[in-house]
Amino acid sequence: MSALDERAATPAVPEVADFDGLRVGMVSDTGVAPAPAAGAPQLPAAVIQAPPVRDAQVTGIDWKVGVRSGSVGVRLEGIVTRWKPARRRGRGRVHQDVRLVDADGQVVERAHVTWDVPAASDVQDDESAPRVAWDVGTVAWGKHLAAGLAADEDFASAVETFDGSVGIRSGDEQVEFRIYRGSVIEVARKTPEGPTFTVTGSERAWLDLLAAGKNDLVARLGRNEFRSTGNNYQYLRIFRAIMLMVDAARLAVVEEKPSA
Amino acid sequence: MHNADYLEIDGRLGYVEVVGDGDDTLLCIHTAGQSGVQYRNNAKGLAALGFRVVVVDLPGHGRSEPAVDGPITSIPYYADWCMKVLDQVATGRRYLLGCSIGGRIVLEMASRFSDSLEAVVAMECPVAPTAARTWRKPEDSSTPSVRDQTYYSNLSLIGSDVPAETAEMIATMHCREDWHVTRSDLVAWGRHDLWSRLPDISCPTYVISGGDSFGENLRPTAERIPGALFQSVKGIAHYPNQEMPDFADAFKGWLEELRQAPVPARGGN
Repeated sequence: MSALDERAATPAVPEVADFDGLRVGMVSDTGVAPAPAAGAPQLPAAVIQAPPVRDAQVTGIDWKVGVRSGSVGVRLEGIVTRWKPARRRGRGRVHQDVRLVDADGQVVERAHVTWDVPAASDVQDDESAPRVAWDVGTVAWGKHLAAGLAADEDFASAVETFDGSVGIRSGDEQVEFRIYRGSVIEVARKTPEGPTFTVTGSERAWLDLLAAGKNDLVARLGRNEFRSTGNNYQYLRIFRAIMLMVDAARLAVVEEKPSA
Repeated sequence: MHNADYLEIDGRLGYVEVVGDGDDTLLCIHTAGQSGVQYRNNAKGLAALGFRVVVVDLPGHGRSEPAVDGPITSIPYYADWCMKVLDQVATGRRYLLGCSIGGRIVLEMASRFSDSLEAVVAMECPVAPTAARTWRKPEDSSTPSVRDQTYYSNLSLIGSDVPAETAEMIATMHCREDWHVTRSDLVAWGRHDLWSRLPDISCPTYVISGGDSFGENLRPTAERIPGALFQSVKGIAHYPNQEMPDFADAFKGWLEELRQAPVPARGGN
């Protein structure tokens, strides 16, 4: 089962959910058909049989087979890791972390699955998108985070002597925070000289970190759920600021209205 | 009784606290980079079990002077140093208790001096079949914000059942260390080649793991020690004696289990 705590755990997705009713962190749990033959892959067929939302179409499966070879999956556990409302084309996007588990609850195969949802509800731009607190790595999320950090004296103190950019990457989304003399002076997809360093995790890793009972980024770094790239000296030097950014991101998730 | 003293060992002064006046001696050894202050909330409780509790600051730690050659990178050196402490202050039967590198030191002592030990409790100290950590001299110029690293890394080593206030205290107290000494201790841990000698341990041994830390990963270490008992304690992590409010009671229970367990043949194999 998911490691999410109660703040993220929500009732399982109905057999056919509405796009607007879907939320990041929503868990699904469905039985799967037996494997057609011993050792045959099960996950892709099982995924297609269990869309997270009505009329969703698979657009990508980043699939890891043989995680537990020789075992047979009996259930498909999915958790929504990103939810993007439609823009212009009227097509929404849903990302899932999906795990095929055997009768002992052990993961047999796992995948990151992306879905396209035609005729999803439209919004005008990402910055007005609801549920921005969960949309890690987007510019909208970055601006939301920077607004929260603006009044944080500890953050200002931690980056008082820093002159550079911090990248935060979640899956395919990356945002950069240009920081100078204790303040975030710009949030952008790319800064002119690029990030001084970047903290990277999968969408699932960020989801688990934001929903965990405490900010345990250090432990997750130790388990390679996250990594830093770029200037490691500067990363170490302002590590407290990174922890404070994660604290702010976790607070934003708690404060976000459930109805948003 | 609560006495403190500086003992001359290997040409330098080592700091030792003695709590209680029991007939038998319990030596308590701290974790990497730290000091005997880690036992400040346990010593009296352990003494109440009937022990003369001896809490050391290893060379270069706490109030002990550094060793003549600087930070130590050898667990066997620490083990010999601890035996010299016992030879100066111990009375009666000898018991050992240690955590992390303290646990490794305890096992190292047990692997060589089992005949002189009544029982040992080693916490949070898995032994790997191979020892390979390479040495890199600590340089401040390449290691910024060490205090922050220490604080956050230690917070991550505290169990899920520990109140936030206690976790904050443990992490904050860890920030008193000299990171050059801590790094050397970790090198000592990495270099420590004990796997092949674990079967030599013949005194009653209890291996304790934090359920939120090494957990079952410590079981193979215990299984390699003849007759050793093993327990993974739920809800705590790397610092059992600092995380468990009833640690002395737990320690008493572990000793009782050891007394009732089948006695391994002395002398090992």
